[in-house]
Formats: sequence, structure tokens, C-alpha cells
Amino acid sequence: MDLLIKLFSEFFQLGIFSYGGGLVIMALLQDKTQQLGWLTATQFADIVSIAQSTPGPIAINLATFIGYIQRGIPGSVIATLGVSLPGFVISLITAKFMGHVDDKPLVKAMMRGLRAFVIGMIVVAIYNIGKVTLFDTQAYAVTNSLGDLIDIRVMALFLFITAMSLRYDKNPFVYIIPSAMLGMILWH
Amino acid sequence: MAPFIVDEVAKRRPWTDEKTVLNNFALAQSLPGIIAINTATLIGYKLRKFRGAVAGFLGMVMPALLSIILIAGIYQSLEGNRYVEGALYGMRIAVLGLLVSSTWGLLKKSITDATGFALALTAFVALAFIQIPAVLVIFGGMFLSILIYHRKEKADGSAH
Repeated sequence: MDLLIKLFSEFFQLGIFSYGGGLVIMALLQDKTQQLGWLTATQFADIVSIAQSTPGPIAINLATFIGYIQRGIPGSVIATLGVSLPGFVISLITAKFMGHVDDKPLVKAMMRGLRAFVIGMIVVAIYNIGKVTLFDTQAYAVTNSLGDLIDIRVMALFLFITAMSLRYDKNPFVYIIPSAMLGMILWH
Repeated sequence: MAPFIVDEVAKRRPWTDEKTVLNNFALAQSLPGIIAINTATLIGYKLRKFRGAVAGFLGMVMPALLSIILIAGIYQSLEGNRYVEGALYGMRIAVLGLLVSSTWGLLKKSITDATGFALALTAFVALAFIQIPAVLVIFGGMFLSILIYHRKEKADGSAH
């Protein structure tokens, strides 16, 4: 029960401060799950990949998933409610009483700054995911050989996908499914 | 996301018009919380007041909730399977690449001047080096944004 309350309050906080899209929420969640010791960096990276590949807002996907890992189905429902209620309540109040607040200078000022500000946060989150995905720091710590830190094939795949997706606007599954298959073959 | 909602709510069904959807979508982005949820709530309210808002909210949340519960269950039961972990690893690499490229695109759109760059850098340093909790960092960002841009926005407003 304690955990459920904690799940709700943590995700509720995140719901209040999530501004500027799903990637921001990912950054906030990464920080939070590390801070609370709920997930390892690798687990978080896995969950992000799955959340990105499934339908639905990534924030909900992440909340549901993390809630499930913490406390099964009740956990997933509580976490999802936690993260989505602030937006719901505020939207409701705004719709009923306040009208289009996005015209107010205060709101416009905040959005204008945050748009650039959150880029810094997202970069940090992606860096953290990259760190556990592209490098094998544990093996490196033991052998101190560069060959153990970096797997050329991993790097090549990563750089290839980055370059391709920068150039071509294709459905993400075009990249994800073959990579998953490659992963099964090469890195099991 | 916006064209999708426009299509479903304004084109395929005669519930409202495209302009209303887009306006609410823009408003949804200015409010805290998940943009998709906000949009569903706002449009739901517009159509059927409180009950509409709840319906929109639930409609947005349920599919993701149910499908992820299913997937998370499978994920947990398959944990330890080498082939699944291999596939997940491959997925991770792909998603990382996709994240990098979409963030790059986002970066180019969002950081258009020195102030923007300074803001992004502040966030980066605060989070990565000073290790301030992310929730506080974003709160600080809101505060900074208002500090920097409020007067300009007020001036823009009264100039019209």
C-alpha cells in the first residue's frame, strides 16, 4: 500500500512538471527512477525502447510499464492515473474557467523559454541511454581494453540508423524490427 | 499527432471543425501534463462538458494502459531469455539512433538564438554536472523563461 501511495505521488509530481512533450517526461522519469532506485539504467533503456514502439503517448506507456514492474497491475493503474490526472484536472479547469490561456503573455513567455530549455534535459537523458547501450562499461572496468568498451557492430548499427533516420522520414519500425532481429542473431 | 486527431474528430466524424481541434491542441501544449491527454480532455469538454472531458480522458488512457500491461507482463515473464534480450538490445540501439535524429531535428527548431542556447546549456549543466533533480530543474526552467521573456511577450501583446 505504501508503495502504491508513493507510486501515485511520484508520478503525480511528474505529471505536473511535464511540459513540452514526451521526451521531457522521459528525461524526468529517467532521473526519478535512478534517484529512487526503481530501475537500472539498462532496464530504463529497455522500457523506453518498448514505450517508443507501442501505440499511445510515450508518457503513459512509460508510467504504465514502470508501475507494473513496481507493483503489478495495481501499480500500473496507479502510476498511469498519477501521471495523467494533473493534466486532466488542469485542462478541465482551463476549459471551464479560463479559456485560451495560451494567449496570455505569462504562458507564452514560459513556453518560449522552455522550448529551448528542455532540449538540454533531453540531451542528458539520451546521453545516459547511450552510455548503457553503446558501451560495455563493466567489461571495460575489468580489462581496460578499448575492444571491450566498444562493439564495432553496435556502433556501426547505431551510426547507420542515426544517419538514415536523419535523412529519410520513415516509419520507425523500419529501423526497429530489423535491429531487433539483428540483436537476436548477434547479441544473444 | 495533430493531423491524426483532426482526422478522427473533425473529418471522419462531424463532431467539430479542424480549427477548433488545432486551437485546443495548441492550448494543450501550453498546459502541464501529457499533451495527448490534455487535448482529449479539452476537446471532450468542448463537445460534452464534464462527461465529455472524462470520456476523452479515458479514451486516451485506456488503450495504452491495457496494451502496456499486456506487454509488460510478457516482458517480465520473458526476462532472462537470451534471444529476447538480444532482440531488446537491438531495439535499444535502433531507438537510440531514432532518438538522436529526432532530438537533432527538435534542437534545430527550438534553439534559434543565443538565449535559447544559454537556456539549454543551463538545463544541461544543472542536470548533468550539478545533479539537481530533474523536477527542480524544469521548475527552474519555467521560472527562468518567465523572467527572460515575460516583458517581451507583454510588449508584443500590447503592440497589436
